[in-house]
Amino acid sequence: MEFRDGVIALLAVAVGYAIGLITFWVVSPILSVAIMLLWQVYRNRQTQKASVSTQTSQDKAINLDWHTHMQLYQEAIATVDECEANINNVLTVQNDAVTLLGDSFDGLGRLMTEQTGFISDLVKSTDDAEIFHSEQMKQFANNTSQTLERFIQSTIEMSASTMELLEKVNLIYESMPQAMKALQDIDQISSQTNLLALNAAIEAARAGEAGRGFAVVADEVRALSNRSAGFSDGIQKQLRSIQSQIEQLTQHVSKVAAQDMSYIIDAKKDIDTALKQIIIKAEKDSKVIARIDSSAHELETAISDTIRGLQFSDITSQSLTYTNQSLHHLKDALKQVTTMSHEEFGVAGEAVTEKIGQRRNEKHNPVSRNEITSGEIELF
Amino acid sequence: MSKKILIVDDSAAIRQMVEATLKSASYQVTLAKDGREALDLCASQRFDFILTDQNMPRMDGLTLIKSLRGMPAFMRTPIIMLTTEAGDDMKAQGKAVGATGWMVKPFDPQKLLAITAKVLG
Repeated sequence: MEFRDGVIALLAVAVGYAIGLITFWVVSPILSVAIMLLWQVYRNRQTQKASVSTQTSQDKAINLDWHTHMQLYQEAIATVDECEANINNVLTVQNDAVTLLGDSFDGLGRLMTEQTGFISDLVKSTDDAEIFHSEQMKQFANNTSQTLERFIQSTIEMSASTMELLEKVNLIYESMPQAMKALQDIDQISSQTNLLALNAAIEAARAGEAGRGFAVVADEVRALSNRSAGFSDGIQKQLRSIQSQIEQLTQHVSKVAAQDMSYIIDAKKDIDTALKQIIIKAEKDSKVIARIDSSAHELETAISDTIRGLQFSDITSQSLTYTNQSLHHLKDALKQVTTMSHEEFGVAGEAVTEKIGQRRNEKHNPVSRNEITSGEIELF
Repeated sequence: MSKKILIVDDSAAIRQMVEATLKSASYQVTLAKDGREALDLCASQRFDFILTDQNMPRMDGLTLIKSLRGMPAFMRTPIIMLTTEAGDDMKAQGKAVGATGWMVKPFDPQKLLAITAKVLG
């Protein structure tokens, strides 16, 4: 047993020695090679690591730069968005304002047309007459003044004529007693003739037959004397009647002639003042009418200017819409870029840039004028 | 019998201003918002004079004139462009499709009335 244990122990030492030798001679080179390989790998790794580290920092720099670009594009897109929204707001406000202005302008135009009609009715004498009321009033005042002047002149002349007439009637009246006296003389002659005829008849009767013829003549003379006295009486009666009528006439005419003419003169003064006021008013109205006429022309010019001015909305709308479309186009292009990687941009970036420029070449702003003076007109 | 005029413009302000101007001279005025609407109106009505904008939705002024010149009723009707466009190339296109004349916005009412009287005379 002790012997076997000794053999096993020897074998074990031998195996151990053999293993040791093998380990030394086989494993050591392998290990050395492995260690060298590992070292090489390690070195390679280290080199690679260093290389990767350099590459990463470059990439990192590029990535950082690209990110900044992207941020820039995003900001630009946001700004363009804001611009578009602002332009749309301006367009909305402008359209609303211009609609309001246009409606107000229409209303004003309608009211002005009505007002012009009313003024025309007011200043014209009748609906179809061309002559103005003020002119007619002026003519009326002038005519009235002339008529009144003639009337007063006639009245004064009539008054003077009446006085003259009265004087002449007085002369007639004053000659009446002379006529009466002449008639009384005739009466006396008649009476004497009658007396003579009576005496003649007496004498004829005394002469008898011889005086008969004379008696006839004496009777005839008496008859003539009586008739003469009768005529005289009749004329005297007529004269007294005339005298009485002249007295009445004189009374009436005197009353008329004695009437105070001053109230007519005063009335004329009042009427003249009123007529002067009518004329002044009419002349003032004429000036106002001339001013209205001039205002109508000024109004026409103002309306023309307003019509021209209100067209700004169409012009600015078209320009703003075109600007908005340009901004939208730019935004689309920027959005396209933001979806690209750095490498994709390297490939397609140029096309996007071209696309932005392409719109400028293909489209144009429909508004070519930058002022509100009226545009040119051309007939083909 | 007053003359019938068709105004074609997408801008309400322009339609309103042209209408006010022409009505002040007792013309009969009809309004259209674009070329298509104008063409529909011309299918059933006759007009003595047409005034059209160029840039409008659905149908522009040049296309409208071209279409109208193909219709016997509108072969000789005066048609004037009233537009913000003032380029010579655009005017040449207008002349080519048969426009009678070209007016650049903004228009002066007195000048518009004068040109209207001239083309209708």
